[in-house]
Amino acid sequence: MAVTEAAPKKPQLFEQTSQYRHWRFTPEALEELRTANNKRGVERVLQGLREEAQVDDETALETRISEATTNLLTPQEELQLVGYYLQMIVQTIRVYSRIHLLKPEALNNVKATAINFMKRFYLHNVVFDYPPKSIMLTCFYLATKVENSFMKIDDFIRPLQDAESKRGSKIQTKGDDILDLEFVVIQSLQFELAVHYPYRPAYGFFLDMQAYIDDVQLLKAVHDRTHHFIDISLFTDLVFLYQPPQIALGAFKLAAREKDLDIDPYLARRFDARELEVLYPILDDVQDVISGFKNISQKEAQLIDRKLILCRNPEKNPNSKLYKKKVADQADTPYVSDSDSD
Amino acid sequence: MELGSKPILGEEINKETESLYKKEKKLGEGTYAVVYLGRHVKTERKVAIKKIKLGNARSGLDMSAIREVKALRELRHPNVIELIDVFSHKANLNLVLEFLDMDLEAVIKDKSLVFMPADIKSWLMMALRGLDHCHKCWLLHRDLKPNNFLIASDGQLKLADFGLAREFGDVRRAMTSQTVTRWYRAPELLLGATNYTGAVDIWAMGCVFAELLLRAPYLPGDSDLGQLTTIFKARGTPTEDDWPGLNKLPMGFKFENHPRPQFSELFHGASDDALVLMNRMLLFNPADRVTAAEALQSDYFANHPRPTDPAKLPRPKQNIAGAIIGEEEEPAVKKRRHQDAFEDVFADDNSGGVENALDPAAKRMDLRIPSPA
Repeated sequence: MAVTEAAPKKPQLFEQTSQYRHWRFTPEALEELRTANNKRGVERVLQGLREEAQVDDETALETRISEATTNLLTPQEELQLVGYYLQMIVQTIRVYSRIHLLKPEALNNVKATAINFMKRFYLHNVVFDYPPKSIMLTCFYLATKVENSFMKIDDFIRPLQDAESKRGSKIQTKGDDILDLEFVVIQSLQFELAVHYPYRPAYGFFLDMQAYIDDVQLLKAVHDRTHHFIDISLFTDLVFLYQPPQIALGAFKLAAREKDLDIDPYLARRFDARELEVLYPILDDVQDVISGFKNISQKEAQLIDRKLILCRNPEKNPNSKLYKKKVADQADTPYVSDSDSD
Repeated sequence: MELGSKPILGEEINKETESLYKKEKKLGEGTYAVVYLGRHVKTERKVAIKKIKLGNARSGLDMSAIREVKALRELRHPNVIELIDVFSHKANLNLVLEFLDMDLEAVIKDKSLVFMPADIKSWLMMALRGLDHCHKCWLLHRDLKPNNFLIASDGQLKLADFGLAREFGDVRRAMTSQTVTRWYRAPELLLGATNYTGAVDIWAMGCVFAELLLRAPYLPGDSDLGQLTTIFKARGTPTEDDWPGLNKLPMGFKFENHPRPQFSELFHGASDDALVLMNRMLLFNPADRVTAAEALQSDYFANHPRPTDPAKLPRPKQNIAGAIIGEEEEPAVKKRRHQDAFEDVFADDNSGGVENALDPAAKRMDLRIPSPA
């Protein structure tokens, strides 16, 4: 083809993003994926327990299996547990900003990316294999890199260790634990690291609305409040269902309603009737999901965490006898050098 | 159920991806990566598999790997190298890239090739199209130079090596000024700007344009400070008029006043429309510099001659097996180049380029058909 020929008609730029191509679902597909994922995860737990019994105590198998079966987490419980640790990410990140390890302008991006990574991770993993407590820090660390806020791993874990020693508890956070999971996480993200959020579209709408709405002070207050609702949206499944500008506009509507600003005339002037017919149900859903969001309490999470102890998959649990045996077996195998490994 | 037996787990999907490709032979090795010739097992498509070494990475995956994967996963354009797949194997990251075995640096350096003005126009047009796409996606390349433009067997030129790429547009976020290989580094970066735009890539592109005409690097400075002097000698020392706000840049130095030489003295074989465009790419004030989209609309591309069909562009006989590594073959150079990306302790010693730049004969564009040797 000669370079001078006109290029074929290109799709919208956003349609090229990995977020649009691979991380969009209908509510039904999302539920189906989570149910299937949980079901297969349960099978692996039982299989792992049977394998472990062979290297451990055969007689304990039945007790272990019945313990595990009565404590197995439902897809809903898995979601709640992950949800709790999503909230923990936000708390942890605050520590870093307080001691200036993360710049204020990087904060939103790192936070949103870390949360999004963790949500995506659990579409392709279950908590039985990888409990969210450990995945959380790897997602956070990876997010600092992806959002151009790199710090060395030693600098990254210091505030966490400081907090542990201040509490008088044993130092449990180790850099290696975080790094060991880096490949597990990044492969589950299918190496797609660019994430788009509603913050920038919301700012775009804020600028655009100034041409239509006279009270800029009020509009600014609404925009500020919009951030609060976007923050909430990050915890929900909205990121898998709608585009960032749609979520931004839904959040805008919630904020506007709170402050008695009517943005419907703006929408009516900006979009034609057919577009509005598609847009309004989306905006309604976004508003419903955001206003219906509830934090997971520590108590709820503890209950689920306690059950999880009994239904972990031993194959992936570094503390299990099965895991240790597998690692030892691997070490025993003579090292075969191939040009492909280093 | 629709999912059936389809893999769900990240681990399973990764394994499935890995099983799609086989490595055939090693093409080259750099400090940062090994490149293999590979093939898709079903389609037989030839690919390059770039295995990123993480041997010494104390903090896990390094930033250049993250940047490259993050950028290329989002970009789809005929003039940007295609990242077909990614998979991990043990603690290695494998990028499956389209197979490309030539780069623009090798083309420029092959003095047996003669460039016609239409050839240069064709390369520049493809390069600008790729860059325009990056900028439209809010991505800065930040390391444009001839050996990061790879060339496919059909002659298509592709932007490659996105290890320094990052998104831009958020004015509150500072970016490092220690980026871009020195000879192609824009003046605002040399002066320490931490807030910049696609204009830094355009400057580099302007330098590459000049290099295509000269067949030698246009602005080969010998140190960071020397680079500014080199630029000022070639382009004249800028005044507050050329570049309002110049005195407010972080590093305010006083430079000797160099007059602005006429472009046409150095590039006397080049057409006026080419020089007008090159001048707009190499303006001191980044806000005045032409954008990639504007450059593509310039008279240079509208006027005759029409750009050469990529398949008919001059090409060295010898392919470069490891072109995708994006590093020179000689180990010492490789090492320095890698450090440069992070620490900026780079002393360019690409002696061929320096010598040629000092040779006045080499500074002129040769448009003659060579007589058979």
